[in-house]
Order: sequence, then structure tokens, then C-alpha cells
Amino acid sequence: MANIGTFSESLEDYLEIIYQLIREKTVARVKDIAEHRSVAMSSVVTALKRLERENLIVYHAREFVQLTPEGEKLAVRIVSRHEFFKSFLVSLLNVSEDTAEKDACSIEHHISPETLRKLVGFFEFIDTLHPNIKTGFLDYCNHIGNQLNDISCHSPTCPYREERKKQLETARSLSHLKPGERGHVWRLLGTPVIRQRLIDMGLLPNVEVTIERVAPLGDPIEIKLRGYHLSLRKGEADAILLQPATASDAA
Amino acid sequence: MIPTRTMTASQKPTEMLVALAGNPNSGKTSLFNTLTGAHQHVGNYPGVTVEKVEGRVLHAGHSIRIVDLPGIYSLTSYSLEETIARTFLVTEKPDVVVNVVDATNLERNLYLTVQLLEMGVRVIVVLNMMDELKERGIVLDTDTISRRIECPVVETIASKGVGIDRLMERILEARGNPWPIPTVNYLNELGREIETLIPLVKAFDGIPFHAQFAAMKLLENDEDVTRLFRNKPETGELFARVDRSIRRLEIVTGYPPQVLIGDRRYGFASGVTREATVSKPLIDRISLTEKIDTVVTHRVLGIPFFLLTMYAVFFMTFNLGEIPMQWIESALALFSDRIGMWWMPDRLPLLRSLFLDGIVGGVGGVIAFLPNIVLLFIGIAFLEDTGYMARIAFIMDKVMMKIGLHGRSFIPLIIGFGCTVPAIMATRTIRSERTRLTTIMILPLMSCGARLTIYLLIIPAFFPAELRATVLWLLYLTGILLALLIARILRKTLFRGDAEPFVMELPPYRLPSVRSVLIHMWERSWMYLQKAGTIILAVSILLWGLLTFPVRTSFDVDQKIAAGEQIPEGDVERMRSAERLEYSLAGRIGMLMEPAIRPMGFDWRIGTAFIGAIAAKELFVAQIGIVFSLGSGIEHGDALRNLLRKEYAPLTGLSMALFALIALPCSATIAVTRRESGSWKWAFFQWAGLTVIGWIVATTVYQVGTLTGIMV
Repeated sequence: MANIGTFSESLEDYLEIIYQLIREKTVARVKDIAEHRSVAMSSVVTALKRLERENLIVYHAREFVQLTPEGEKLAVRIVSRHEFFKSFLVSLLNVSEDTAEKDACSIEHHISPETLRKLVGFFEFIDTLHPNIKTGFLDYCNHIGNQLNDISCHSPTCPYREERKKQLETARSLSHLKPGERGHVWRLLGTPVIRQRLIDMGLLPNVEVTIERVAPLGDPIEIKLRGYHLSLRKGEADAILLQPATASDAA
Repeated sequence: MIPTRTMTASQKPTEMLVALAGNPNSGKTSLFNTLTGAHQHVGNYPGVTVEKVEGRVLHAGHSIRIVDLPGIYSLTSYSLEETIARTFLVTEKPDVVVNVVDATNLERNLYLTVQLLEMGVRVIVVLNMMDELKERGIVLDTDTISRRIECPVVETIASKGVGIDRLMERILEARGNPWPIPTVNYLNELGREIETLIPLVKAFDGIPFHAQFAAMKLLENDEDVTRLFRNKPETGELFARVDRSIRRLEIVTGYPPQVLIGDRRYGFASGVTREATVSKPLIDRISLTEKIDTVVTHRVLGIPFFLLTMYAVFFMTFNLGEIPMQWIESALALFSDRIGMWWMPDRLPLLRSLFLDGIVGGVGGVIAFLPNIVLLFIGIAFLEDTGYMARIAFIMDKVMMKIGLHGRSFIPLIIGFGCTVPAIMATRTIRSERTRLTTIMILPLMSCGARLTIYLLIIPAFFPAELRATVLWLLYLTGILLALLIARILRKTLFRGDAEPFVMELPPYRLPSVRSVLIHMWERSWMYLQKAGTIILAVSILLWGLLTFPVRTSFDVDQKIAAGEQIPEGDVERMRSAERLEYSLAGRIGMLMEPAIRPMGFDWRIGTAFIGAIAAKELFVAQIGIVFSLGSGIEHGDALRNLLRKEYAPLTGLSMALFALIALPCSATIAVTRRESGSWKWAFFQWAGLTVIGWIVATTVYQVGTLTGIMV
């Protein structure tokens, strides 16, 4: 049985949208899905094909998208998880609706099942058994107002959704770049072993990488970084996501 | 934070232990040679030093033991080299670690320096290749580097011996001094998590690492360090905290701790580099290396250039090597003749035979290959030291990857067509143990020069002229295909494991010094003579024993002559030696084996000849001649072929050639496999495995052929 967290965050989002469209309009069309996510129809089709492969939806070209019982079960869980975070943020922490909606969107994809269970338990514990703590905290918030300190964030990427979405769209894996193209390392995927090896060779976030050439037989590739030359197989290069250099970088 | 160090009683006050650590290609081994004057290989190929190499030097009344550690980029437990280096630093506790740094690639080299410092060892940084730096027009401020990383920095040009005296002074000064650990600023979140773990780590006794280093290794999920703690009691809380820290860092920053730690270390290294760079050319010149690479690894030109280079190396090895090889052979023959004349057959005949046939014959055969081997190693040394070897791996990796091997496996496979022994030695450049063992196991399937002599005897004996080239080609091809197949199977079963990540530095091209190439060549050639030689000597004596004992004293030939039969004068001695062989242990084993070799279409005579091939493949040709009482098959090729044709079907010939190709890797191969794999287990596995496969293939071919009536 498919679990939350098994699939990538964008696939989960697609499932959620399909579920909501079916609930609102009784049918889900590719065009509507594309509009909802503001992406091209072609990327929607790619995602739908993956979902279909996972046996979560039924989809035929130029037809409506339907959820399989399995897919519907997962979608319900994804949606209710989203709803849970929203109400947790709004009713327990007194976060504004808009922020809660946005944060729920980002939290829901990153939380582990264990923490989620604990949070649900915690929410029930406060909400049903100790409502006075809840009201006490609201009083406290009103009392100190804006003086709540925020944890500083030094992360090179901000977890906010919009920016992430943009980066996700522009990110390309190193193996897809052509000789002469440049980019900055954005994410390292792959097993810890390969990742550590890449890190040790200096492939770290924001480092500039130039593709020098592809071996005569098409694999491996040669790249230049930190003033030296490195070769790696396309399989390993797949694990490196880059933000391609833009025209302004070149100037 | 000052690490305390207690002198153990075994360390005499005048004995110092110094370890050399550094990136591959930083000139570490070059420095080692300059320091110790030892004959140690220097290569411009990442990962040449696989073993730990030691030398001793006397300086100002102090005896200093210097250990050259394998070239490494980091101190994780993911590669053999790094594990070796880290274990050495922890268990042997060197008084000083000399960290050799390639000044032209300061940033990446300092990444290792940071980790060495964090381990809490006394580090002296050697800025090597200052001449190349100057050529590139870069000026570095050594004092700034020294101040920032809080340890002495010495400029050197190791290949020319510049700066060595100063380094020795620094080493002697440094001993016994307390050592500060520079603190890389691990910034807010990461720094905080490390801080919270340090007191927890400190609560455990017997952790040989500095607390901060250990805490960071736990965050990185380092296998060895984690295991170290897991073996201790009451680690529940520690690991819960570690997991929590990892989770928290991932959520807050969006990166796993591995990346964060690497990022800060590189950040520190790059900060020091920027601060210390006084001036550098505004525009990076397109380096010579890049110019060479546009041709040498070009999409179209790359492969022809590579083939041409390989051809040149082969031409040098086998054609040029032919000349001195003949000198050695005639010198040996002369030597053997002279001894034979001086040492008359009637005096201690057994000892004479042991010396002439067993030792001179067996060991001489090995020495005769020496010119080939020396030339081949000059070629390989040159390819490695220039940096072209890394490009070969780059060009050929795709082919090798398909069968689960590594780009670096390609060169040994090519060398294998010449001789398996140097080919196995050439696998030293493969870093992953599993890949290396797989390569060694399949190497005997590349038809070597000695097998060619067998093919050249058998093929013309059984096949018409127009088919000969095809059969020869098919034999080579069978070997190659079988090798690929076996490699795949081994990588999926016995040597299973993730493909070794092919993340390989392409070092800048450098012109090797004559001295370095010669040292390299000498070291490997000597190893060949010494290690292979001793075992081959033993096997030669053993085989001589098998072929000689028990000694037959009365011969059927003599009885026939006595009975009045007419036998040509010249044939008598030959027929005697055939009878001797039949009577010997080898002959008896051959007959005993007959049921086992019958399915391949062999009789006891072929079996006995193959016993000779155990020592060296080419001995098969000599032995089969003796079995057919013709004298050595080498001198009587055509007569022997006629006899073979009369006695056996072509199918048996093919079966023989296949068995010679696949089965019974020669004793030199076994000796070198034992030496290079470090255990008799693999040597035996190789021998038995290939022999069984050879038997199966030869039997299948013979039986199918017999049933279908082809070539009978």
C-alpha cells in the first residue's frame, strides 16, 4: 500500500489537485490541472504517466483523469494531512490563515510519519484535554505581541514555496548539460557514499561547474570546478542538480 | 582545545615517526623519495600508492621514520585509502604529519588539511610545486596561510629538492609541542548541533578521535566512527541526539549535515586561499593541459590517438623487446651448454638435471621475459607520470562499465595479450578491491604470448591454411567474450557491490623526469623478478621432480635392440626419454587422469604435456614433443604436426587449444595473483575456477562435435 512520503512532493501535489478537482467539478481534465499548477500541459502529462505507473490514477490521452481506489485513499490522506497542519497552525498557534495555508504546503512534504503522529497526538492532547493551555498560549502571544524571536535561517535556499518552485523548474541535472555550458550546484542527490565522494571533490552548493567535454563513447563526462578537472559517469552526474548559469552570470 | 599526548614507553626519545599525507598528485611520493632516497614509485595517476611505504632518515642525530600514506582527498571511511590513512593516524600516532599540498590547487588540497587539523594531529603543511605556481604567475603569501591555519608552512619543490632542509628543521622543532586546533566556524545551526554533541561524545572513554571530529563524523553518518560508538554500552541517548540533530539540520537548512560540513570546510579552505593569494593573472590562460586534452580526449580523435599510443607501447614492448630477449636466450643457452659440457652427465646426474632442466630451464624462461617487462613498464610509467593514463580510463570507461569494471581495468586487459604477469601487476591502479580482484581473475583469459606458441603448433596441424587465421581469431575472441561474461557474473555474485563511483581527477599533464620513470620501472621489474622468481623456482623444481621421478633405469628400446631390432641411432635417446616420461610421476598422473580428460578427447599423452604447461604455457609445446618421442616440439614442429594429425581428429585439436586458452593459468600468474591479492585463496580460486571452466568448455565442444559429427 502506498504511503505518504513514498512519492515526490510534486507528485503528491498532483494527486491532491486531482482529488480536489474531482470533488469540485466531478471530473479532472489535464487542462484544469495544468491551469491549477500553472505549468505546461506536457509536464502534467509526464506526471500523470508516472502516477498511472504507480497505479494511483487511470488516465487515457484526451480523457478525464480518474483516481484508483488506492490513489483516492492516498489523496485523502494527503489532503487531510494538509488540513491538519492548517488547523494546527491556525487554532493552536494562532497563525494567520494565509501563512498557515502556505506553511502547511511546505511542512506537509517534509515531515516524517513519526513526527506527524506525535504532532497529531499533541494536538488532540491540548485541544481536548487541556484547552486552558491553548487559551493561555493565545493570551501569552497577545501579551508579548511581535517580540517572538525567529530562528535565523542561513540556508542558501529558502524553504518558501514560490522560490522553490521556480528553482525546481530551472534545475537541471549535470548529465543533461552540453559541453561549454555552466551552472551552479544546487542539490546533491544519490546515496550517501556517492554524495560524500562528490562533496570531497568540492561539488557543493553554489560552486560553479563547467562542462568541458563528453568522452568519445558518450560517457563519462569531464567537468571543471575550483580550477581543476574532474571526470565522472553520467550516472553520478545525474545526482547533481544545477541551476544553469543565466545570461547575467556570464556578463 | 589542546590535545594532550603522552609518550609511550616504546618511543625512544631519538626515534621520531613522521607521516606524509596529501592529495593524489600533490608530489607526496616525490617528497618521500627526496627525503629518504628510497626507491619508491612516483606516479602522476591518482591513487598510485596503495601500500604503506616506509623509509628511514638520519638528520642532526635524530632517527626519523617516514611513512608515505596513500593519496587521499578526505578522511571518510568510504574508500580503502582513506581508511588506511585514518587508521594509521589514529593507531600509530605519528609525531608529525607532513601534509603535502599542491600549491597550484590550494583550495582543494586545504580541504584535507582542515580535516587533518580537526583530527588533532600535529601538521606541517608543505606547499609543493612552487615552481609550477610561479610559472602560472600566481603569488601566494605563505605567512597568511600559516597564520590562518595555525601551523607551520614550508615552501618546496620536491622534485628538485628545494626547501627540504627547512622542512627537516620544522619537523624537529614541531615534535612534542602542544598543537592548537584551528576552529573552522561552523556557523549557527551546524555549530550549535556540534556543540551539543561534544559533551555527550566526551562521556565515552577510548574514542581515539578528538571530540569535535568524532561529533562531526557522527553527524556525517561515518560508518567506522558510528560503529566505534555502537560497540559501547549506553549509547541510546547519544544516537537519539545525533538523529535529532541530523533531522533538525535537514529541516532548517534543507541540506543533510554531510553537505553542510563539507560546505564549511571548503568555505574555510577557499577563504584562506583568497586571503593568501597576493596576485594572480587577470585572465586564466588556457593551460597547456586543456590544449592537449582538446585533441587527446576529442570525440573523434580521442580513440584513434589512444589506439596509436597503445600500438606504440606494444611495438616497443614486443618488437623492441625481441632483440634483448634473444640475447638473453642465447646467453642462457650458452650458459647451459657450457655447464653441460663441464658438468659431465655421469657425475651426480640427478643434480645436474635438476640444475640444467629444472632451474636454468624454469627460471631462465622467466628471465627471458624480462626485457619485455622492463620495456612495458617504461611505457606504463611514462603514461602514468604524464597523466595520460587517467585519460585512457576516461576514454574507455564506458566499455568497462558495461561489464561492471572500471575504466582503469582496460590497460591491464590490453597488457594481458602480451603477458598475464605484468597485466596483473598493472591492476594496482584500480582502487576498488572488488573491481581489482575481478580484473585479476579474468586476466588469464586474454591470450598471452605463450599461448600463441600453442596455437601456432596446433592450428596448422589440424586446420587447412585458409581456415587458420579464422580459428586463431576465434580463439582470441572466445577468450575475450568469456572474460567479459565471467567479469559480469563475478560482479553480480562473489564481488557484488555498487559500482565504484567513477569520480576521478584528470590531473594536469606533467613531463616525467627520467629518474622517476626509471625508479618506477626498476621497482616493478625487481618485484617481478623477486616475487615471481622465487615461486617459479619452487614450481620449476617441483615439476622437474614430477617429470623425473621415479627414475627409469631399463628401457624397452634397449631390450628391442638387444633382441636384434633395427632402430636408427638418432631415435634411441628420444625413445628413451619418452619412456622415462611415461614412467615418471607426471606420466603416471597423466594416465591416472585419463578418465577425467577423456571427455575432452584427450589421452594420457596430452594430459602429461599439460602438466608441463602448469609451469608455463609454452612448456606444453616442448612436452608434447617429448611425449611423442620426437624431442622438444619446438625444434621439430612440422614432424610433430604430422604426428598429431595422424593421431587425433581436428576436434581434439580445437579442444586442446580451448583448454590451453582457458584452463591452467601458469605458475607465474598464480604467483603474482597470490602476491597482488594478498592471499593464496584467490590464487587457488583463479586456478581451480579457470581449470573447471576450461574443462567444461572443451568437453562441451568435443562432445557436441562428436555427436554432430563435425570435424571428427
